[in-house]
Amino acid sequence: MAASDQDLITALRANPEHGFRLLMHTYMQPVYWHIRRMVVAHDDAQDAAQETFVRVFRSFAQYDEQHSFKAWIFRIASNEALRLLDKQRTTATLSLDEATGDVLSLKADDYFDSGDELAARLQQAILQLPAKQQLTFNLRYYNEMTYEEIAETIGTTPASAKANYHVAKEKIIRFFQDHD
Amino acid sequence: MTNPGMQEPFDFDKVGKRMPYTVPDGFFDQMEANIMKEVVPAPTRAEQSHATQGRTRWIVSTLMAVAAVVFVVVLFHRTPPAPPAPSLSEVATAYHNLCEEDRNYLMEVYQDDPFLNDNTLE
Repeated sequence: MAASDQDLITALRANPEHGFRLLMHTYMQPVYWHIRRMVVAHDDAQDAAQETFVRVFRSFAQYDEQHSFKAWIFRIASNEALRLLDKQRTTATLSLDEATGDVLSLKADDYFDSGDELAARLQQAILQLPAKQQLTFNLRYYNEMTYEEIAETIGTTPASAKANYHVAKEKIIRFFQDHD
Repeated sequence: MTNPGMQEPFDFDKVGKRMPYTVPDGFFDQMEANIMKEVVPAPTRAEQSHATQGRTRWIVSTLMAVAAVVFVVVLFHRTPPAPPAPSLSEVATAYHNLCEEDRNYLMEVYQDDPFLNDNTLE
């Protein structure tokens, strides 16, 4: 059974190395998949996920318990993913209002399951969303975060996060209608 | 009644949380090991060398201290070599150089000394 966030915080304070192992057992896969959905390529997701956990370990002292621990971790992960995408771009800094995904790289990655066409098309639809909508949709749909947690993760209000989610969902539905 | 020209909206439940992505076998264990290596690094060669140097320095210091203690003990417990015994002619000269009073005193004190005049040991 995965440890609760409060258990993880207590463990990290009592014994950082042991607490951090517990944290990785709980968050390793959710964080990796969250980043992978944004950056698409496995190697990139691996780099960004590793960097995320190193940052979590090194900056744990700065974590403010007034805020959600889960949102804090996903905020670091989202920033790492956006930073990596930004580095890959030759143009200006990536804005949260721009689409992040390289749809062509979806099928080019070595670790892509070409047998699941519907799942691949859903990822294509998500990747065409602006980064803020994409993050909101993923955090709600895949990670089942509350709008409050999403708001803390991406730095917005719960109402705005809710609106972003519904707009994103509408755009995905429209994508399927336009591409059928 | 549904419009035959109208398309059914995309059903998210048909996909659920499935994703078209995979990872290599043992990937998450390997990633955990990589991260632990980075955040809790093993002692570097320089650190190991520093530790070895410290240990060596401690051993050498201890040995030097022990050697110094042994040297001091030996120095202060060594018995000084006995001065060489004067020859009979030196004794006779010294006796001859004494004044009359001292010669008489010596004769009085030692003429009956059993150790000096013990003929039984000869």
